[in-house]
Amino acid sequence: MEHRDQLFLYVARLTGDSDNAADVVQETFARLITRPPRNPGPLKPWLFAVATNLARDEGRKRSRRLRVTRAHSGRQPMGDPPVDPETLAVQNDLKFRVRKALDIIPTRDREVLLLREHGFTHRQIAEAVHTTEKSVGTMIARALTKLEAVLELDREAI
Amino acid sequence: MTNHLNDGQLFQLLDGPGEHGDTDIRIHADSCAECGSRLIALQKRSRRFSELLRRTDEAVPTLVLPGSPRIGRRVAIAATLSLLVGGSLFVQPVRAWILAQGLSMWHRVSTDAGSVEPVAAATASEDYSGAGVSFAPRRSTLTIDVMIHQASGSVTVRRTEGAEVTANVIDAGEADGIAVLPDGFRIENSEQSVAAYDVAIPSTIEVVEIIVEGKVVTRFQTGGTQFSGRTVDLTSEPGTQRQK
Repeated sequence: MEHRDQLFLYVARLTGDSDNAADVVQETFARLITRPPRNPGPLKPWLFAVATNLARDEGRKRSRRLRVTRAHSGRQPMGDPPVDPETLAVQNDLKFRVRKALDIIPTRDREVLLLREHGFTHRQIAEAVHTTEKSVGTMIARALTKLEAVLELDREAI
Repeated sequence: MTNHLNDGQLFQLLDGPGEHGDTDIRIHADSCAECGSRLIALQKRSRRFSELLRRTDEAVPTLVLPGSPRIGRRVAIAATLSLLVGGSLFVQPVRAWILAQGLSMWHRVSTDAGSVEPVAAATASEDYSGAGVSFAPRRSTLTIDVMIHQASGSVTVRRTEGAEVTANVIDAGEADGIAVLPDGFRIENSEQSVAAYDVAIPSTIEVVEIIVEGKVVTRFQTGGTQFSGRTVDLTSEPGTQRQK
């Protein structure tokens, strides 16, 4: 189950929502059978590319749902009651800070950074996010610098 | 190169050579003390971030697919099959069981769809040395999708009077396996694989297509009395031989 676990961690890091990540992983593996990859080769890049697209779509849907809810009902979406960020920060300060930092950087930079964490080459990352191989290094550097700034990590201390 | 490297170039260097190589960047980093020390610092920053992610990761849940309200039964069954095949195919002792179970589920998927004829229950073939699958074909064309060229091995296709496609793996290594696809099956191999495959096809199959690394290397008709069998070398098919 190596691919499944890795995929779950990637999507959970990407979206910050473990329930959503589990759904995306399920849907990704379902597509492996219903619409398998046309080209042969390692399965991992294909799985991660599909999961990235599904996570993007789910993010857009969620964003729309939130907007509709706020515009028409004035109420929050149903489900668990919203957790106050300060309470959450007290409960799990580090987790909150990392999540916040990941949410602040642009989606594509986040995808690039996290795909790298899962061992993808710059070429594979470029294909997944539709950019050039040469620009991947710059995107990683930019994303990491932003994250460190948000997390208030001292670069000079290294 | 006289200018110092930027962080993007240093990450290129850190993550391994790209498609076009990083010779110039490597030469500069080796000879420039400032860029060399920045490379080390970047590596440490990168490791620190990796560690932060690991410390804050969610626990991986156990996925329960059937009955999930988010996906239909057909997809749920397909996903279960996929998880079984994708995640555990490389564990040799359970491979045959997984394939048999997977096939059984695949037939349920096909039957649920309502667009294909009912098929007989699938069972794993018992007369193979490594692993094997058998399934009722859904179309008159069978596709054998081989992931990549192997170190050695071949596919032998012969016709039988049976109603199912049967694919037996011979001399399989640890990294060899097969998975059933909608129109045939996929050989999940590696460059080190040495397995050969004995494929028996029913008379309802009219065309067999063998794809290696995404290219159709062989496509032959099985109709008429001329067809008695065909063996395809998975290592040196003309026109598609790998550069070693």
